[in-house]
Amino acid sequence: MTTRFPLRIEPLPGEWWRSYLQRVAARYRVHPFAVLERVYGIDRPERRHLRWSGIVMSDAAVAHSARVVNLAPDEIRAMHLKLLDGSALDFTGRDLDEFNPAASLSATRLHLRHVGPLVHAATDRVCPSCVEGSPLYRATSWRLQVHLVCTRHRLPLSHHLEAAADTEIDDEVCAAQQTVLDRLSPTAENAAFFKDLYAQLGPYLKRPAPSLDQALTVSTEPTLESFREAVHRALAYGYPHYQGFDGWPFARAASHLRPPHEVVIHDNRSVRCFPHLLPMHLFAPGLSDLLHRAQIRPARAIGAAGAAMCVGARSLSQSLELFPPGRRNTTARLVMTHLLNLEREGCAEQFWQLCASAALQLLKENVDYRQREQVCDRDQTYDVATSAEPSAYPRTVRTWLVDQWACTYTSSNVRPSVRDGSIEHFDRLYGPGMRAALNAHLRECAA
Amino acid sequence: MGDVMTELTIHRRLMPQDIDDWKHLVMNQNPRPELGGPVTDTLRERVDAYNQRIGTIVTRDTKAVAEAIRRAHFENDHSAYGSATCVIISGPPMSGKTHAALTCAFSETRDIWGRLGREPDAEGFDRSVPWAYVEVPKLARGLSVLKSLWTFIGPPELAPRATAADYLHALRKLAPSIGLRGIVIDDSHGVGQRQNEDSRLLADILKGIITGLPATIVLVGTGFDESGVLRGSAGDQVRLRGARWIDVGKWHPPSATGIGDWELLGKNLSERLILPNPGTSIRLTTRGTIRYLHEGSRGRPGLAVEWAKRAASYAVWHDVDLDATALAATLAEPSFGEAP
Repeated sequence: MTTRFPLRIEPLPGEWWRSYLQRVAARYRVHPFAVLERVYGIDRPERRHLRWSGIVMSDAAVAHSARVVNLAPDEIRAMHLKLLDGSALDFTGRDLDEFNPAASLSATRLHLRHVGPLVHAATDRVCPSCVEGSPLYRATSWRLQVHLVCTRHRLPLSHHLEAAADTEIDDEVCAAQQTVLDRLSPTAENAAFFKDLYAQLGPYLKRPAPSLDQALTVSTEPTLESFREAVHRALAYGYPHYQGFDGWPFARAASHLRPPHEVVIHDNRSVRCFPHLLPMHLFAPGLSDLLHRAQIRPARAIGAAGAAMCVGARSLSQSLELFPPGRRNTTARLVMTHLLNLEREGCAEQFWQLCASAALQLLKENVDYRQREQVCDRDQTYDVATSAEPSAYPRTVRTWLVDQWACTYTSSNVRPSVRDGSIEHFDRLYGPGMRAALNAHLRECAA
Repeated sequence: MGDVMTELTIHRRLMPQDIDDWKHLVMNQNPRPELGGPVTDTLRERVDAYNQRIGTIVTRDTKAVAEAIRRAHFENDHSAYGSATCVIISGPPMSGKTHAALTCAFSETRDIWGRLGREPDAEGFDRSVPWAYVEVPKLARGLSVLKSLWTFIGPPELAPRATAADYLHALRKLAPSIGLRGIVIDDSHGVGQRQNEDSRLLADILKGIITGLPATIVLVGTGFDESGVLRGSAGDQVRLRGARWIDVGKWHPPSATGIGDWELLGKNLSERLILPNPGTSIRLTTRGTIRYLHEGSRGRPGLAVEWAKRAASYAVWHDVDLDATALAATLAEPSFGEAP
């Protein structure tokens, strides 16, 4: 007896595997269990086999199913929720056999909510217009609780075909929904987005509250408005006040605080040697002005954390891993407090721009600035540093100024008197020449 | 393909009831072994295998069946009101009925597959099933014929409560997609053997298959008259529309002077079968041998071909001529008579 079905039934765009199986059954005018019997090679299919279809299948099961239904294995994989692993869902650490309908089903199976907020397995939602030509069609993304609206037909997904036909969906909700759907491909950035979005939607995704899809049925407009806000907030990277982090615990907020600008890097090694303290000259174009309320050491830590976040668009908690363990919590608190203040003052954007340019500079120079904390033994280099500017500031002693500069820009042992701004002005005028001399010295030392 | 075939035939028998085997059966490539070298056991084995797979032996019956099917196709393709013509192949057991029907089905399938421009069962396409072959099971009852046909084509099983109408409707929808042109229903006489309610249902279903599916139906069986399958109103409709009724194996016995069907069969067999040893020869065309072949096979061409192949195998392994002596050595019932 042949194992193959005679027809190749084309999957519809974005179709879910369970929906495909049911369409195949309808095409042959058979019960879906008859299809499961052949596709999974099981003797007595049950409803739970159908319920567990469309999540994940082993490679062997995919190969067998592909042969039976005349599809390529990749076409079958594309119809499973596993495709969303690394964006909206997270199967990390899960034994995939727990979800495999072709494997023997046991009572110890995991609930689907362990991999992300999915619509309950026994629940079905549709866009009435999408299924008009093909009543059994279901899209894979309809299983996600965060897919609430069909952006093509501007209709909310509904448990009943006739339920949502009159609901008007405004442009902003559609745009927010489209933003979510555009981010379903598995990338680190998209995974971070969904993590943030789920955090914003927290009240809807925690039991015993009704899930997002259930809430949509009960009160459509408020739910859609909450959803739109959550998407906007999740995407408002770098603005913790707007994102509502004020009331969150620092640790939780730190895992969701991300920079708005990403400095793209191609070599992760340069990140590993990222210093835990930025060299002060990177403060020069204004970062220290921005952080003048902080003590100089905390200000440098805040700047360092901001720059580290910009590299690879990492969250604050991720970037703090570059810091000594003992300083992580303190720095997280500092960054969050200062950033909230800056945002209220309208300076958050400037902060992130400066952090990004500092990170760029750091990566460009590719130097571990902690080396500069060593003592300069060469008289000649020291002389260059101390005789750079003889008369810039009549009321200050020249050597004091140069000494301040040398300490501030080459060491973490910073003098507190730099906060009058004169040192920054000095640096703008003479810093490059002095840094070049110090760099030459460092290179010689290294050689 | 040759290697695949050898491997397949060594490990399992190819069955026309299984659509997966049709690719090998239809595209049967049987390369002739090179003769002339030393006669080893390996060569003997290859020659023996070649002889067993020589395929179609053209006879009057195969020609008549091919012509009848061609004509039935034509009438069905140009039918004004969808009425269906079927072909009924009748004859005693081992007279070559199934062989004749399958020869025609394989030939037409080969032509269609040759025009596909791809493998007939290539993944990613609808499967091409120009012909289906089902056997009426012994003690057939209910929907067994329809179920056999359904199983052959390969869709998932219909619900246990599906009716004949459900099957026919589903098959009718499926047929154009797979390019179904014909269905061979072998041992059709089994439908009427019980002469009870089941038999009448089966006869109705048979009639439903003929009129309800867009394909030329070829009924193959023994003693349709006695079985009663073609009696009753449904049987009448089948019989009366079966414009192509062919009695297979009704050949005149070999005569002392003329050249008839048996002489032509002997000639064809002599041309197709080979022996590895150049010192041996095939002599199946002598009048004595032809007469012996006819009598030993009880006038059944199908049995005669099988017997000749068995005798060829004997000749291959014993380095003797393929003649009446080899036939006598391999006669299934040795007490039947003396070789001439």
